[in-house]
Amino acid sequence: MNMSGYSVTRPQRILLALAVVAIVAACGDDDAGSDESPPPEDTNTAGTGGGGTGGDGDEGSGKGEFTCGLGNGEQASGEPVKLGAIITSNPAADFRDVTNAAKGYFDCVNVNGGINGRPIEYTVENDDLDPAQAQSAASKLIERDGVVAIVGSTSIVDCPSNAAYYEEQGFNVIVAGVPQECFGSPNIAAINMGPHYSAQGAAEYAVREGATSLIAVTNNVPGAEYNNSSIETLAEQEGLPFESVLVETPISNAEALVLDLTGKAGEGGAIILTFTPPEGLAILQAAGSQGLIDDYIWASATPLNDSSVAEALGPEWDGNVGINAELVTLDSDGPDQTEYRAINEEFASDTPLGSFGQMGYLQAKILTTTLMEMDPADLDDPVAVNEAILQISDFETDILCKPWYYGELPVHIPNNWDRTVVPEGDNLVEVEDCFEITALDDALDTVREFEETQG
Amino acid sequence: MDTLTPFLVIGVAFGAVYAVSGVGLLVLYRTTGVINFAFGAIGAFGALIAWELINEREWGEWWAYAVCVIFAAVVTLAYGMLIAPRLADRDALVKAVGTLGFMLILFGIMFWRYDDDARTLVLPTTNWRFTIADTRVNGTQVLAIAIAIVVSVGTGVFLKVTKVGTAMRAIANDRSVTSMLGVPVRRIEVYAWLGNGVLCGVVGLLLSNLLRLDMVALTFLVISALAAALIGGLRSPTITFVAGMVIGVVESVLTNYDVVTDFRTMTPFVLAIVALLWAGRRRTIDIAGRAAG
Repeated sequence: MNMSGYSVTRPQRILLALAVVAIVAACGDDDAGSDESPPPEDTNTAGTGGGGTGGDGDEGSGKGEFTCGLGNGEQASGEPVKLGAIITSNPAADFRDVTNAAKGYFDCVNVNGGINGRPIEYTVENDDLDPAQAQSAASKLIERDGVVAIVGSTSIVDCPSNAAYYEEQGFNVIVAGVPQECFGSPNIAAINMGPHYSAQGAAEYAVREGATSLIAVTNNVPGAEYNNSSIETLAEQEGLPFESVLVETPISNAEALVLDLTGKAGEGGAIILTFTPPEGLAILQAAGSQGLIDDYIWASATPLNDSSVAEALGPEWDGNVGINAELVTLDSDGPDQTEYRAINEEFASDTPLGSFGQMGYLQAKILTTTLMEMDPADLDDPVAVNEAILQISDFETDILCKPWYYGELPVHIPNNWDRTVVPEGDNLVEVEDCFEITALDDALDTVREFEETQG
Repeated sequence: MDTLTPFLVIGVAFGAVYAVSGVGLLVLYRTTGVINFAFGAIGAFGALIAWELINEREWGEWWAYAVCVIFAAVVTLAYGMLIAPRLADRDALVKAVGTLGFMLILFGIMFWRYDDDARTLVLPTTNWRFTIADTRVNGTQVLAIAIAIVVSVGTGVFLKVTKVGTAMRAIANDRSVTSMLGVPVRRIEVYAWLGNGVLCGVVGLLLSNLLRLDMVALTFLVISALAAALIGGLRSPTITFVAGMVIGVVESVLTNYDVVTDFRTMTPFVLAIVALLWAGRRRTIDIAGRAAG
């Protein structure tokens, strides 16, 4: 019954639905064959068991073109070697790029002979920023799925929630670390140095640039003060005024925030940002909009070492923000960085090149190399696999400043040297080559002592 | 330079966007009884599509902006024609939850399609820069204020003077009676949804310049806009406009004071609660819990 004099007829409904579909479809991919984006589902698998095809890539693509796996261009078959990861992937924090890149590497391995003929099955669980889900994911991966190693995890809650569990299970996990707990466990080693040390690296750059004060700014989430604490210690050591600013995100008025920050810093002062690209970009653009670039020193922790940031910042920022880079610049022509770009293009083309992708690639490569060197009979034994991971030492790569290692340590910070890059056009270029992060805390002292004993 | 002035100037620009969004929510609510929680998400989606068309499909800027507004209008209209009528006889809470669900669906699609890379969408007006009271102002900020004034005044006049506006007010008073009087209720509601959709698109474009092109930030802008509409009693475009401006200015000015700066994001909630308490100070509640007077 139509009491109101107007009703939507079926053709009108269909027309409306078609209009919406048409607009969304207009933005669809033009290129045939590039429709396959990384699956948004919580679980994705590189390769298949039982001799299936090799992951997302077209069957046969990449075969024999890369040195991953056996590099023989043959499809791996047989029982898969099971690996897992836990990521945070929701609108507040999305680390899919890490596992997408790791999966790209494993896909490459699978179409190039696998781990001595066996494919890798890579299962990624999303904790959705929920500690309970992170705990469930870890026990699912280890106890139900039977993974033999965890690699590529990048989560805000995994390390705090599962560090004790990994220790109990004897798993030596390789991660891209975010919270403090990823750098303070005997059973977790990160490929990166994390926001705490990265922000310190950015502050050290600012001091070298002649900063008259240090203002450390990060988002107001539990544990965020830790990101700023090393900058406070550095400021005390350098005799500089310091202030820690925690900002609610999403930032609602970046221009007002920038006025406040520059007021606190004073002319010649340094503002050190630890934010994800969208928030960091908003602050930098607001500073540009208010003409507040030149009178201050701007620096940032690693998250802004992202090609999308360089593209989004205008020319006014060229050379004007020092971004800490825990990994080599994206356009470097070192062998691993070159291979990362090539594998990303072939096997993870929907994932942008960036620090997160580099971290995923490198973790996958380190673990693959370790598995390839093991006795094939031990590949299904988590004890043997995790013992092999513990013994990783002196893993040389041009992506990091120094060789990566695991080792028997109460804490792990194997990546503790870094670089500084600045935007230049649409790129980020290196302005400071590898430098040693100053040891301002006991953890870094412990690590440096260990490194000395290892030579 | 007076240290407060820059915060005031910047606050006015942000307040203008809250104001125009609040008026958009208000008009839709007055006509349909629906609070559109998807307002910000629709605008964000439209702006992201515009960004994609410009940066990855090499479309002309103005075509992309037009697609943004058309997308927002069509999506909002689709909800208004396909889903909203099925909830028309339900209470306001159910209707609101309907748009909340729609917001989450859009949010999920955006999150699936666009990762959290840094993106920027620069309207030509953003490059027009000048200085007021030692504060840099750009053309988009001025445009936002102008649009807020035009939309607020225009809406007020439209509701009072035009036949459709009168019908909208009648529907707001009593949908069933208005329908029985022969007013084409659904058609009027469609106009309201369409207008709301166009505003979603325009606000999405403005905010992607004033705030940033970020699906989270733009989606949750609706909270500040809703606060402005609530302060306006979900009735008055003028008060909603003023409330939006006040929220923007207070939020901005509080940034300058360390003692309260951590609490500045509470501004919309605090002002809305104060306004609701003030509005209800003389209201009596009968034993059945209904407001009387």
